[in-house]
Amino acid sequence: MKKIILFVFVILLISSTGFAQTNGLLGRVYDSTNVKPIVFATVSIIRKSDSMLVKHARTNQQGRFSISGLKADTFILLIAHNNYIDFVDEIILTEKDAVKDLGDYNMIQRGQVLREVIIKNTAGIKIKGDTLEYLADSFKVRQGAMVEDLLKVLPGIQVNKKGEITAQGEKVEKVLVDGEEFFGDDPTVATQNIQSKVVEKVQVFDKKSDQAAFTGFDDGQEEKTINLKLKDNMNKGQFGKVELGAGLDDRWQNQAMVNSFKNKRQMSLYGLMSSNGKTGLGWEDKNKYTGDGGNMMMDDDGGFMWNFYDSGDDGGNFGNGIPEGLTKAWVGGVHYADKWNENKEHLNTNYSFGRINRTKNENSKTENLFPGRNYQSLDNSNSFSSRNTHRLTGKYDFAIDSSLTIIYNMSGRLAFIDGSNFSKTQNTTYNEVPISSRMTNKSDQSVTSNINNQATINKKLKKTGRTISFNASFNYNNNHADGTIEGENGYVVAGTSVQEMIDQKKKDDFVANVLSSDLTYTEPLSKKVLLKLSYGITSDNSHSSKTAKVKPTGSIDYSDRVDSLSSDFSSDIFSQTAGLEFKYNEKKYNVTLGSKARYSMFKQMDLVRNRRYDYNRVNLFPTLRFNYKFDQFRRFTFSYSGSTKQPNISQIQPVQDNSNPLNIIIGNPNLKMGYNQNININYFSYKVLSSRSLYAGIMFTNSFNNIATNRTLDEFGRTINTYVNLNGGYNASLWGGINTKIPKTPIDGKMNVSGSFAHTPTIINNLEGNSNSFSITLTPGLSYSKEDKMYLSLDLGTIYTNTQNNLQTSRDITFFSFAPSASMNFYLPKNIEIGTDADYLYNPPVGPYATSFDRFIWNGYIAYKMLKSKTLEWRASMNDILNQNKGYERSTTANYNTERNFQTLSRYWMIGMVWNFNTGPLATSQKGMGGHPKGGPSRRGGMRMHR
Amino acid sequence: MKKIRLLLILQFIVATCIAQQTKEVPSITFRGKLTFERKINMHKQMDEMMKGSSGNSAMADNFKKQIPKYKTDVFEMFFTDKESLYKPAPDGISESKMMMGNVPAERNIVYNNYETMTCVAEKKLFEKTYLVSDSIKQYQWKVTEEFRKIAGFNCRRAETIIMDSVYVIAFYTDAILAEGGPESFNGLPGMILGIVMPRLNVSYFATKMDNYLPLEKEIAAPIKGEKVTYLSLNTKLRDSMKQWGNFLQRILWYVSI
Repeated sequence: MKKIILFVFVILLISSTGFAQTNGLLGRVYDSTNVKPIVFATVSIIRKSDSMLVKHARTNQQGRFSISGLKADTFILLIAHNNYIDFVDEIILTEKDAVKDLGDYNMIQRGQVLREVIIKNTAGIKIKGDTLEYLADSFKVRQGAMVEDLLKVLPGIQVNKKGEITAQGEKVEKVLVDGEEFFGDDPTVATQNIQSKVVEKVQVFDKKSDQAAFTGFDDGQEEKTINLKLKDNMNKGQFGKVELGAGLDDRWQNQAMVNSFKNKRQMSLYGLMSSNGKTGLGWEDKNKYTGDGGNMMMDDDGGFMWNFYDSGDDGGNFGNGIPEGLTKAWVGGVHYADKWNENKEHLNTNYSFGRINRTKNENSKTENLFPGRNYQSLDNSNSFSSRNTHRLTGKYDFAIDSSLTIIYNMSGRLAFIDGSNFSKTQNTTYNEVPISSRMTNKSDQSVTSNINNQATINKKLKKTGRTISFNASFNYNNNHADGTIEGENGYVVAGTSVQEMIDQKKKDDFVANVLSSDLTYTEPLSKKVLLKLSYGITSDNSHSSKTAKVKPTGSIDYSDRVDSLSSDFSSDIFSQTAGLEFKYNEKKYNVTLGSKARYSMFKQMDLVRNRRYDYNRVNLFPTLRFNYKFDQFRRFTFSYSGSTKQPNISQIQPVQDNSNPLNIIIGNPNLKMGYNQNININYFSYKVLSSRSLYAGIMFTNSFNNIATNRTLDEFGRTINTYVNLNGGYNASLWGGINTKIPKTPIDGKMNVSGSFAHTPTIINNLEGNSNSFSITLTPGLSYSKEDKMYLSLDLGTIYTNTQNNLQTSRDITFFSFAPSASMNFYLPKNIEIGTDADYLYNPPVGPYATSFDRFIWNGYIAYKMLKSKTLEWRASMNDILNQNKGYERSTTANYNTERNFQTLSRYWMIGMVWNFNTGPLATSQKGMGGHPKGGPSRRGGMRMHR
Repeated sequence: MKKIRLLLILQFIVATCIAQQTKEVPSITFRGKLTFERKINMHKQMDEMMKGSSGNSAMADNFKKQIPKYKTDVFEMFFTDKESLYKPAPDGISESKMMMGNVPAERNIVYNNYETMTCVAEKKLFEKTYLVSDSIKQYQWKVTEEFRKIAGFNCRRAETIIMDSVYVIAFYTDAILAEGGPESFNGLPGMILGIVMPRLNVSYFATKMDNYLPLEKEIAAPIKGEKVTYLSLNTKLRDSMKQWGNFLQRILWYVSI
């Protein structure tokens, strides 16, 4: 009997252990600085879905921990120790992992130094996987401060005068609000218009591209991103900012933002009108005179391509920090985002409108260097442009289940551009003997529309790492421009001077339809090797016509077409691209090696001359990428990419372009295939607690059999262009910098270096030569900030420029220029704030530049905050107090030395007010205790972890 | 005179420097003595107790005027990494004058053994003393991202719901190895230094920590009282206090924590 009982008992025991499907975790916790195990750190396993603490343990003398009895689920692993910064990671436990070994975790010491100087409350900073998180309330800012002020006091983050943000030594490309893209890519919309007190956490991470995140193949497109996680109770009421400012001489800047957030729904309105160059929403206009049609260019595959100045992005041109021309802007936008269906469906839309009017005067002097035939050009132009642009973007994604996602992206843009430009050009010899002159008065009206649609289906298959992704897109571009040109050309041909009057009407049309789709498949070949196969087809269909018409003698109608200035091309490019890539994954490093091959079929028609060009091209694009991650904040990347370059049809057998009888193109059928390669090496290291960052990088590009233009000037003053293969050209650039706290002082120091070297073989008048240009910029800087009291910074920029040309030794140019800048902000008692900043630029006279140039721009403001929570601010500011602002730019290349002066906004003053409002619960009370009666907050919504 | 003043200032500076140095929180504490302060909002407590009973509210308001809003009691807790004893400090329980305002089970003694995972608790309820012998109470904690400094320790906030309806906020530190807390609260990765139960109008917060090796008798389990388990005590009270109505629920809560 006893035996039977025992038997039954044993059976029960075995079966019970057999049935209990429990899993375990193992790991080790290390001190990152002196590589010793951390004893008695707590390891908490928290269920991700409801933040419930499931199990916990302490590490033993060897720093090891083991936890058993877990069921398959997604967990948050929290490792904490009094002396270290909390570490958070996400762990997915499947039923197959009996005991999952998590490997080693490195913890970062809260550090002795730190406790004294930087952070009073180290609990305010946390590392979650690859995300660095700051708890906003742990950092002290003034009442009424904006997010930008908060970012300035966070260790490891810097904000410069223009509002550009650097985090851990890298430029921040995007600022998200509660994980949502907020009015496109202009970070300052969020940082300058949202108050810091509505923010709960600031999270800094590297955002991977959607495809890289899905397939696990890095494409090197990581963007440093900041997410502003707002406080939970911002879900009620409205908050925002109203700013008004005006001064004499037609100077004004008014803007407003209203946000209404409710649960996952975000709704925001933004509007701005200004006459001081501020355009907001990334509307900074392209400085180039647009409105004009396009230029015919050749693309990588050697086909036709029409390239418009108005290429769709309205990105800024602040090359040397000075906006060009005088701008008035009226800008508005709406942002809407929502999640529903248990967050499976997500929509983000932004609409914006901008009207940007700009007037600009500029003049330039250019030295053109041709062996034996140097001459100079003087240009003078006045232009006006008015752009009215509508933009709409939308993204919808739907996670049908955990393995299948559909993403739809659209963007549309409609722009109406009116422009006029009056310019005068005078080409003379050095002794001011005229060679040719031109005077034109142009005006254009154009309408551009772009529509992009893209749909992606991502499917994860059963086996981990096996994925399939299908992507289809359709792009439509249309540009229509009407314009007139009036003017006068004068030049000397074979000793006689010729005058030519110009009076033309122009019409440009361009339509392109690009349809493409591709399929990507990834397959894990082993635990460490991943394979990616891709295949795509693209059909690019475009048509471009340009007509120029003149009045026949005695007529008032523009009825005669000028054949030499008219063209009509159509182009069909059908290409197939296949790619094969391998990725080898180790814990600390990964290597990606692969190549793409593209087969393109070109069918191109010159409809005016009724000629047809059909040809096929094959090009290869090999890549190699190596990433080494020492730890979370130290990494090394090496990447190599190459591409073959087939000579294009116009280089072998040119399309006759008679638009300029003084410019003749002769083809070269003996051209060889070229090959370009690019090597990029980057090192980055960041020490969280001493907030020291170090970065360095080198980029090297060279080409074999590069196709260059041989330009000859014949005795008739004609330029004859032909194409040849030239070897030996390369380009190298390097950059590096260190930002650190200077030990034993409260001062931050930095030293940035950037340099470039280019060796360019040239061929002019059949004479082979080469030019070298070298420039290096050294910027040491110091900054000091006392929370809540003052902020000081000083940068000393020095630039060394050297250019040499072995055919023109007299024009070897070497000079130093200086560009120091300083800024100061003081927060005085009685809610008064004053600030001032100054920029200086000095360029010495050298070579072609007869005079030195210097400029000292000094700005200042005083502000007074009032109301109980300091939400109302009065502000008086003066820009360019000394009235010295002048637009100036030098550019030095192998064949040209140009000095350009342009109009820009100089001294003005403004008086105004800023009001931050908040009708939500935060307006009256700050976060208190015990505010969550039921269930408790589960605040992990905005968390992002990738390891 | 001036010299003396200077000396005093110097002395003060030196003293604060030393104080600051010694204030440094040790990385991990294995044993010691914690002092807790319990605060009960008596006015709210009275409101709750009057709810549903026939007593008139004017009388309750009158009572409220005569008693201070908060009743503060002091508890102490001796602990090692293996066991802990939580009990009222000597003279720690302040007198409350009002019979109606009295707090049931206000002097609980709880002994937890973290090796055997058992507990022994003495619960005084009116005239009766029970000795609960059971396994350590299990809680389902939710861990949050909030922090608060308590008695010099950085504490993380966690939450749970007990007895289906009482919301509990706890603050714990991983710098103390024992996994206990005031009353019978436990089960977080470290020592609980703060408990807030809005529903019971009560909060417990540690006020100081002494690094101290408890004597064996200071950490001994209680022995007096009628032997019960949590379950049997609960049934017992339900049976004997049926007519107490709304009041009973509160008593059960106080006894069970």
